[in-house]
Amino acid sequence: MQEGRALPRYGMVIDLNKCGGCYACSVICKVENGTRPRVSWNRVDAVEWGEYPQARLAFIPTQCMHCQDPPCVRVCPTGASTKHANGIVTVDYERCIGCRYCQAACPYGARQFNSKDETAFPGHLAPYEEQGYAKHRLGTVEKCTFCLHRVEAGQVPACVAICTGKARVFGDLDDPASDIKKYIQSHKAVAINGTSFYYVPPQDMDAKFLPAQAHTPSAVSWWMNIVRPGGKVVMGAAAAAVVASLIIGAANRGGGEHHDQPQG
Amino acid sequence: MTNRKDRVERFNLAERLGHWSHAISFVLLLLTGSGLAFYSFAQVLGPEGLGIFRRIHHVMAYPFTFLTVLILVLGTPRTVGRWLKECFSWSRDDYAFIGGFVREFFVLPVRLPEQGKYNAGQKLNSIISILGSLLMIITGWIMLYQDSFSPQVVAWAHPLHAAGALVLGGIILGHAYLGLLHPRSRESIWGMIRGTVSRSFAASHHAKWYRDLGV
Repeated sequence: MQEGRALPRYGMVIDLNKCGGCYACSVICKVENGTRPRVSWNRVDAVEWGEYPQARLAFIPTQCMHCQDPPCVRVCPTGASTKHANGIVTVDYERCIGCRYCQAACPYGARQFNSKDETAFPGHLAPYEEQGYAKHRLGTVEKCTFCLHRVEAGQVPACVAICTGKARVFGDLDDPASDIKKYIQSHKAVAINGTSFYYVPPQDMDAKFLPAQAHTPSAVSWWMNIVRPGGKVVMGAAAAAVVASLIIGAANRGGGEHHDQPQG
Repeated sequence: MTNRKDRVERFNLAERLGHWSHAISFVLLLLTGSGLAFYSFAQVLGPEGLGIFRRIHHVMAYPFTFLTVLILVLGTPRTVGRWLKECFSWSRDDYAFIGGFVREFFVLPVRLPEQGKYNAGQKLNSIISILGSLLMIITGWIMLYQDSFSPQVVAWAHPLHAAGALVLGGIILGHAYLGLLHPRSRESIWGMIRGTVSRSFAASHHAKWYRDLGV
């Protein structure tokens, strides 16, 4: 980091006009990060619209959107999920207890539970598995890290490096001179508000196919903003009532007793 | 049963065991679960402590879900039936009792109407405990087997589970206080320990029931 310059704020543009649906990003993500079978941090969805002869097909890669105010971080009880100053959201596997609150809170379904002691090939570990499984702990929640380890080493995320159509651009959203900033401007990329992602959709594609704007699911808002504080008030009120009753009872000791007499 | 003539039987052994299996499992669940509800507590525990709490929480789900019901249904089905029937039948006296209960709780002078085996407050506590426990059991098992449910259902199980826990937690504070320390009702704890209460307590607190006992 240069002096006098603010921290970078990393983001990604995916130009859907250039994505041919080769799934190289999904594959390299598994290799780079050594994720277990059935755990995939990087997804490619195919969407179709129109009728023959105007039928169209597009591929929409999605992953953790690295939200600006991530609900997953808010619900994490151990602080395992954190948003770094550079905008990247990660999970500290040593702090994760596998409660999966974050998984339920993520509006993009980007988080996956690493629960099964499975390997891709029966009987032996591929080299990438050997390296990857050593980093991940079973019973924890995982997701895309924007390849933080590569970014910190000055490289781009693996999915960006491998992309055959050069559909992915990664960089500092706060730097006006960055490739990503220029790409967003020149290609009129659509911001997914509240996240670190931009997409360049095909001209006739309905925007509804793109990931939604970042939002806190209502279950999470109820939980964090109403149930938690409300519950504290209920528990506090109950405790206060008990203490008040104890004080009153002690103050009029004996006075209360005669009301115990049989009535009627 | 005691041989002493100045005491009357209030709860049989199965009723008491059922009560305490519910009480112990609930308190342990409340304690271990509160780490996940209060993040300041979670920070004190740290990830390791919280992980242990979570494992205890999951083990206690079994007695909380099954043990109490088993004890009650196998051990004393008839009194359980009577208890449930009484809980869900409310008379004018019951509403009047609830009206005067605030003064009773704060040890202020009040005249309360005669009550049956369960006073209206105990009925209300029973109803809330039954419904609240059902809520906790359903939402809890949904979270334990969340891969079998839609993400939307799991997402709502979390706030509902927390809400149920905090309401039941507030109520158990009052319940335990009334039974153990409250100057006018603390004798009732002996009904849940020895199974008997004194005649004077039975007559003063549960007059209708005491009369109907005819002992």
